[in-house]
Amino acid sequence: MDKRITLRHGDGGLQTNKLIRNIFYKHFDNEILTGYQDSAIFQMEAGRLAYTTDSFVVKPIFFPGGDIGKLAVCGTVNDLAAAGAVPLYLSAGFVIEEGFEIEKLDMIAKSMSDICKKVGAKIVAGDTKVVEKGLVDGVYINTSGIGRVHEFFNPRHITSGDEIILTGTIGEHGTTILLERNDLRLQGDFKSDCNPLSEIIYELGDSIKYVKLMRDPTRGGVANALCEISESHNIGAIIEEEKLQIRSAVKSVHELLGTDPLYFASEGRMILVVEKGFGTNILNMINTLDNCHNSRIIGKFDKSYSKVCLRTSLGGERILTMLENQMISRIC
Amino acid sequence: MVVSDVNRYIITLTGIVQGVGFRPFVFRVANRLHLNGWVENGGSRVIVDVEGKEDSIKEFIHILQNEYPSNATITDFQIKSQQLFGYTDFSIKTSDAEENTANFLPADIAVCKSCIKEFNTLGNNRFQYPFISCTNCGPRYSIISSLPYDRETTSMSEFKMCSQCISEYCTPRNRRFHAQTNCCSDCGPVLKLLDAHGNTVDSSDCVKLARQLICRGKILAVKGIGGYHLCCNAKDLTAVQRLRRLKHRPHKPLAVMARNIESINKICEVSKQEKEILTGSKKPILLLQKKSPEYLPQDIAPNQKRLGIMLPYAPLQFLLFSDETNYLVMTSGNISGSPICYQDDVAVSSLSHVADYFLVHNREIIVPVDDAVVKVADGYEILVRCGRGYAPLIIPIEAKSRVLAVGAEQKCSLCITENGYATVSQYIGNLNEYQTYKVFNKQIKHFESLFRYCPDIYAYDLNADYLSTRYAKEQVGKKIAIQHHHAHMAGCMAENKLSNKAIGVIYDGTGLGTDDAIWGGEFFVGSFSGFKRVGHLKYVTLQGGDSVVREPWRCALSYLLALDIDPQEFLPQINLLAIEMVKSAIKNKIKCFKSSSMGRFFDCVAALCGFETQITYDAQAAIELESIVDKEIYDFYKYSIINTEDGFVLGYEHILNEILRDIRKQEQKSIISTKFHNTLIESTAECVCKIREKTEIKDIVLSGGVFENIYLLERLASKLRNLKFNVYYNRLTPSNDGGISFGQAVAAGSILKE
Ligand SMILES: [Fe+3]
Ligand SMILES: [Mg+2]
Ligand SMILES: [Zn+2]
Ligand SMILES: [Zn+2]
Repeated sequence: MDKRITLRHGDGGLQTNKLIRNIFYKHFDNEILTGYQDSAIFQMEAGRLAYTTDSFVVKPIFFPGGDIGKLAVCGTVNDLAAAGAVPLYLSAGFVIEEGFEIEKLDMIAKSMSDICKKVGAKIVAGDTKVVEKGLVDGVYINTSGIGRVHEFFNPRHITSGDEIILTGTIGEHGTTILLERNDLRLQGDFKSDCNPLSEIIYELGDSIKYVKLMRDPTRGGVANALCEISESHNIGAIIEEEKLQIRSAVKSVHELLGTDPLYFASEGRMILVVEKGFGTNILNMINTLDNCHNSRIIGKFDKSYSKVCLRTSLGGERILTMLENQMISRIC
Repeated sequence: MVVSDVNRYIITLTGIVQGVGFRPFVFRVANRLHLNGWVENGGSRVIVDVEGKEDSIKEFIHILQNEYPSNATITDFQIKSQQLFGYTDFSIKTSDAEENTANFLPADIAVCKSCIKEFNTLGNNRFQYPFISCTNCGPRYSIISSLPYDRETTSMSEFKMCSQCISEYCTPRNRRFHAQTNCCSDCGPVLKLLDAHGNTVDSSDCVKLARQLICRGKILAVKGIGGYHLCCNAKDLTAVQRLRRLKHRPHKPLAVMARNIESINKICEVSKQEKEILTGSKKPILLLQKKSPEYLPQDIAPNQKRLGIMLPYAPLQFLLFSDETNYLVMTSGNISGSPICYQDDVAVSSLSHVADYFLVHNREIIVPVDDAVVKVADGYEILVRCGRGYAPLIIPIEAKSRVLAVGAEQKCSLCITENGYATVSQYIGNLNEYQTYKVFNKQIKHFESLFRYCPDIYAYDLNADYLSTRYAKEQVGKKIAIQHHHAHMAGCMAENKLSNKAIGVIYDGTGLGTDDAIWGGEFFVGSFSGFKRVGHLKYVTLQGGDSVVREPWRCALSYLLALDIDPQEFLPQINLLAIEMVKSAIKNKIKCFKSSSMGRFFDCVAALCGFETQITYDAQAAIELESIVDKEIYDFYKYSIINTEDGFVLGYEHILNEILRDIRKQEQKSIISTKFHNTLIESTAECVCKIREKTEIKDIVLSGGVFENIYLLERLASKLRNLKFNVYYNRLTPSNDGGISFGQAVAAGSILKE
């Protein structure tokens, strides 16, 4: 077998077929995928379904804590989880740069398959394209997913007093990528938090009825996610800075660079907005989970605020906004 | 008497004539000169119908124009001859509701001499009554809920006057005739002393108890005119340090209130002009040169040559002094960064960890107003922070449109215009703090209701991330973005009544330019409606967003890297890891921006001179750099001005290289600082001469936060005057971002007209 991807791997001929068998079928092995149909055919379940898609472009492709494959599956799985759904079927489309190492592709496919096994999902449809060198950077992956929405999950309008749970530390994925991408060598255990969060849906079971909304704080981090929720529900929030968990290594990076970890992506965290009065119950349930053991109630929505505010240790209330131009300082 | 000697005139005076004792003044003068007729108050104007001997009327007009109450401002004076009517006396007509003229909001006035005399007179029914006032004094702006100014439209409406007070209020010859804040101990507001938990302390004389508590080193929250103060004995080092610790305010100077002018003379140099400001009717915090040796603890204003000092202006404050306590720290009652507390419940809940006791009263404050801060420089009184006594600023402008300008982000203020007048609000603060943002919103609503309109045009900064900009963009109406430094320039021009093209030297901290770089070392040629950038301080790449402002070493590091100089030698206190990180961040363009900011250049030099790695208040490093200037040194560094296609660039390379050479030689910091200041003066002068050669413009405005630097302002102004420039700078409005809203309004109004 070749060591590197060539254009012929993408021409739909023999090489393509060989690649699909040797890499994708090997890892994603399931009857629906390997059923020799162009489309996946499966039985529809009763109830509500969630359906989502996302494309993944990350540099570097392999990073501490994961790779683009893991990210691509977790991204879609977590988007489904945010919709109260456990994942059933996924598709995966690859755009690969000519010359990409096949061994790496194999590793990527393996991490995709690992996550699928973990969450009980199947990749049932796929596509591969190869483009000339330089047109893409290594590999881009698109995934889509169908999931079963929990029958008690009922997204609804947020009201004053609803509690906000964040399932762990902030900004780890974004910070790790920043350091890796720019070759900033720093001591300390930097690792992406990239992980699937379907376990939240399983664990909550019927108690999911107390959850009004979920959002994974990916691009733009916790701050942007909260601002978006606040704007679309037309209600402010107050977040306690001391309840936010930041690993000290991450914190020191941001102190050095003058950046704000609240705006850096997580890929394995969820924000849950829980009906007033049920925050602690929900917290106690998910705190036991592998990927959520650092969960905290970080604050609440509050109609006496018109913006998302961060109560600092000194007692100030800093307004968090979606920044138009992150790079520019406001201070005169 | 010959009939032709008698004449009748209608005199209309426009301006701030309400709540300043204008009608009683007119009444007294008319009576003295045996003139008949009447005077009427129409909100923003006074109408006088006067009949009598021509000579007497001449004198009457002269007195009206020249001896009117000191708190009034006359912007227009018109006289029309009338047919004789045959009045038999002079009367005061009661005020009608305001008709369609500009609205003038009266400012708060410090307690007057006559009231203080009564206040100190045993047996007077207002002896030591903390809310004594008359037509010439008392709160105004801070207690007005709507216009026209009347008792019913203030928070004094809560208090029904007793018969004695009513009779004063109704007697034209009385000093309290139509004094809307008139009250006495029988009918007016009362004091209460609370402990830290907000429980009432039982005491027959809570003022006396408060005084004793201050002597014993306690911290008191005292409700004043525009908000709460935190107060302690300024001579008590332990109390001062405790206040600093609890308020999270390690270095920022604390304002001092002195018992009287003699006590100020003891600790500060006071010129005649400064004495007039201190003892006038506005009673601002005045920045004065400290005498040495320092009489008060260093900790009050550490590393500063100046001290912010004021005299008591609310009657209550006179009662806080005793023979042991002639100096009180009187700092805004807030926790670091938050707005001044003015509502009783909020004050108790948010200040209870700082204050041991609360001295409160039951007159509501409607509009929070901090103390104003002023200084004397170049022979003029200059407003640094617009506050009580000065707020709102009312400035005539050319444009007639209804503009609401929302200001900048830090030191935010508002400006509303109509009928050719701009009304500038008090200093509001940093909008990024939610409680301040709430005050900002409230102040807008308040202005809109006082002026009874929704603005036609919103003017705001180019920086889309300012909360003020976001606010403006959410409103319905026409919107105009004004570049930050153009706003600085337009405001400065408007207050100096310059309407032709001028040269603008805008030295500032940070403001977004039209090229997405951060500007602040700018040379403009411009007018109200536009500008051309003809030169600027050379760009440097700064890294770290807002942290650059907090940590001056980051500026120094960026400049050193731009010069390809090993930073370690010059920043020994910064650890290697930090330096390496910033280095790679610059290489990788992480959180980097181009900057021509003069404020950041000051930070760079301050850091090289060894100033703290983290500032704890605005512009601390630059202020401390100024404080070590030695006025006897006239040397300066080499500099370069490079011509480019779009103007000239003031280079920093030579300046920095020579500074670094001085540092290597272990030259004294005060010499380096002075030479740096002098270099900017020399180079700026050369730059503007170049502009004059091309444009033949001689009017030059100096604006922006960096011109708070008195040495720079005075020396540059005098240098430019010697070069035959007409030099103008901000006096009425702050040259820092507190003046931005006024500039935005002026610029927007003018752009719209064109
Ligand atoms: Fe500015
Ligand atoms: Mg996604
Ligand atoms: Zn008075
Ligand atoms: Zn009374």
